[in-house]
Amino acid sequence: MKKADKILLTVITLSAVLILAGGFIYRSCCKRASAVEVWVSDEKMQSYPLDMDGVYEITTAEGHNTLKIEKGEARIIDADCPGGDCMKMKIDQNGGSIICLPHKLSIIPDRVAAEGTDAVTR
Amino acid sequence: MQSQDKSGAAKLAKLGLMLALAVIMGYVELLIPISLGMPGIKAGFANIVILFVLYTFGFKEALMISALRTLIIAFLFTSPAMLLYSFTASVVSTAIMNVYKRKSCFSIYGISALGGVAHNITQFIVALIIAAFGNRNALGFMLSFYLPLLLLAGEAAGMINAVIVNGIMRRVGPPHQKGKDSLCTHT
Ligand SMILES: [Zn+2]
Repeated sequence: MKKADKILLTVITLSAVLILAGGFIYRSCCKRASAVEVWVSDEKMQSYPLDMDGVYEITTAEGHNTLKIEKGEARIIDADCPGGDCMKMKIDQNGGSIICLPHKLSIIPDRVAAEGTDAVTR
Repeated sequence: MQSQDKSGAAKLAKLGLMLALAVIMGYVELLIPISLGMPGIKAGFANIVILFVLYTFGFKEALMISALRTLIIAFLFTSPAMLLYSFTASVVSTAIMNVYKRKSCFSIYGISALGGVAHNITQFIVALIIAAFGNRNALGFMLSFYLPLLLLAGEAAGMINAVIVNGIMRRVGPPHQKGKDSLCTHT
């Protein structure tokens, strides 16, 4: 094998590894959300697509929240929790999360859910 | 085999033999049940024959055999639709191997690896054009996952082929010329 061969082989191998690594990183950090998942405590209740407008009632043992998805954005438009902090949060395709602590409710993008909910609910 | 005898009928007979061998190897390859859902990963042991012909006969002969080989295999064993993948890939990889073979800086190992990679990438591009347009999810997956696998598979197959052809040529091929090991600053 000549010097040029070794360089060529290295370049091919390196580019393959780089593409694989890049793809892996992209999939784990930057993949866009296509749906939101509703979790109560540690249990997944429902999943709603982000690209379909709709209003959904979420009732838990602790209370009531109304989730609205419009133009790719998910928000809580009504809640009977003290403070109503969850109504200030939103989720779109770039991410975000909606947490209603008093109701033990968390709504997260599906790509986050795919990696486990620890990071969000902690 | 007398490698010096390249006159007319003898050469034709040898090339016919090479073509038959290439077809058989392509057929054997079809029998190997590995598949990643797309043609291409079997970056061919038939390339052994092409590589050998390229080094012992020349570009024209290698190109002819790689073209005829895919035609025969498509009509005998697979389907004319597969021809689109195999024919383009085979011809493109032979042409690329020839271009770099003429640069003195690469040995048969580099050339063969390049041929294997070119073969796979060409099939990949054909598959992209045919299958993946309009499907962005599939496109992302193919580019980020399938493409690097094809690169590595082509490289590995090319190296194996080079080792085999090198071994064959030591016994029956033309005398080995030892060139100076220099980088591709000149051609
Ligand atoms: Zn709340």
